[in-house]
Amino acid sequence: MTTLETQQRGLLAIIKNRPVDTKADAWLERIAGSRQAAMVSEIALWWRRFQIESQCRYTSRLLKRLGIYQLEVQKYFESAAASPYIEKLATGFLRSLTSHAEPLVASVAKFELACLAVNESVKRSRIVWDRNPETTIRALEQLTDLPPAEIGHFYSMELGLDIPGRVACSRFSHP
Amino acid sequence: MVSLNLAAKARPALATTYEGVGLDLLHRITPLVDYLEIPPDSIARADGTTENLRPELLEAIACVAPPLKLIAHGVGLSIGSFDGWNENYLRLLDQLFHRFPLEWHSEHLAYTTVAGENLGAMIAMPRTEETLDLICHRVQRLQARYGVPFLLEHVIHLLPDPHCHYTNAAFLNAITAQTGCGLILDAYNLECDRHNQGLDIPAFLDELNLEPVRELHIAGGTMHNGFQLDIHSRPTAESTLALALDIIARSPNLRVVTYEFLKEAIPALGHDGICGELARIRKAISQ
Repeated sequence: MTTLETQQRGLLAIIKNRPVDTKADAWLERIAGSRQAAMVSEIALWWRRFQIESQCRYTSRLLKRLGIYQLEVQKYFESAAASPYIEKLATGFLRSLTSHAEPLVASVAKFELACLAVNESVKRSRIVWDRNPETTIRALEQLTDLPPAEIGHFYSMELGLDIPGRVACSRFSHP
Repeated sequence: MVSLNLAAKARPALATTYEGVGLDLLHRITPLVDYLEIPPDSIARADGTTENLRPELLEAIACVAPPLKLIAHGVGLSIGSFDGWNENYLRLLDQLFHRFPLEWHSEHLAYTTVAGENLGAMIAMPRTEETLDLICHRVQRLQARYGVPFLLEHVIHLLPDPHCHYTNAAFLNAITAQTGCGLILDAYNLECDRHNQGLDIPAFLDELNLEPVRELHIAGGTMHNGFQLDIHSRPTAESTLALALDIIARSPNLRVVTYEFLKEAIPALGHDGICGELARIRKAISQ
């Protein structure tokens, strides 16, 4: 491995908070844990947060409301190869949340992902919600209180080019 | 002798960034500048697995060019990555060259990608023999591919330098001597390096061969946690403009001064603010 490769691979690991053998290179040893390297990471994260917020309007608002927006962007940035292209960054981030432990986060991320894809794909997307999606999205849009989860019920939403108005939603009771 | 030389030198033209935001802003700045600096990455959209220049933005640019001349200024080539540059960026640049005549194109002397993964930051190259060979080889490939001048721009150093064989200026001198490529100097970046790394700007300029300098960037940025950052979001400081005028006076082949601002900064700068800044810079560089 050349010095350049060692330094660049090491810096990538430092910026992304991944394990790195700093003993392999004096420069890596010097910058690991430095305030300068922390600043580089902070700038990279700041840009990712800014870009994601502009593309993933509802998901970012929900995550902020839950107080986990910075954490989720950081987790994604550190674990994934986040694209410099905003469209790919947004879809990658939303995909990373589709199996989130908080069901509402997963539903809103799937909804935004489906909205981004609805004009480009003939495939339908189905999203299950634990509360009324319309009032949820309106609350995120208007920054008002979220509706509560409806115990014993769920909503099944479908998005697709072949659906009149491109979206349909029904409320069901759990069997 | 020096004053006679300066008197004979043409005043530099004025350029500004266009990242595809705000048709109304584009039409307001058109009468104020001579060139548009187009970052291909910024006017692209990712469609599925590939990126393409956005047709509607190409049409908007076509409406103002001519009368404006165009230059391309990349962000995403990552000319210094150990494992190769970003072919995706070159495809975007190919599309731009296919659509418009470009006076020249440029990139940052830096890397943004490592092993195919984007860093989310632009990092200055170590100034070593190994890097010099890599950069010169790639510059020559770009020159052969596009047939118009290619310029490199120095970037700010947030991180301390690794062990280097060259000073900042000597490294740029070696690249331009070996390849014949041009340079972009960024007055604001030099100020950032002075603040963050203690760069001696007069010594840097004394050592640098200024003949290859074809373009000069100016911008205003921000301070954060004690660092001066190249987030181009503010009007140009008087100190930056004064440094720019010094560089203009000393660079015999400088053609264009470019006021750079990020599209994300447009709401804060305001259209009036951007137009006022362009008028202010034009007046300063015309004296």
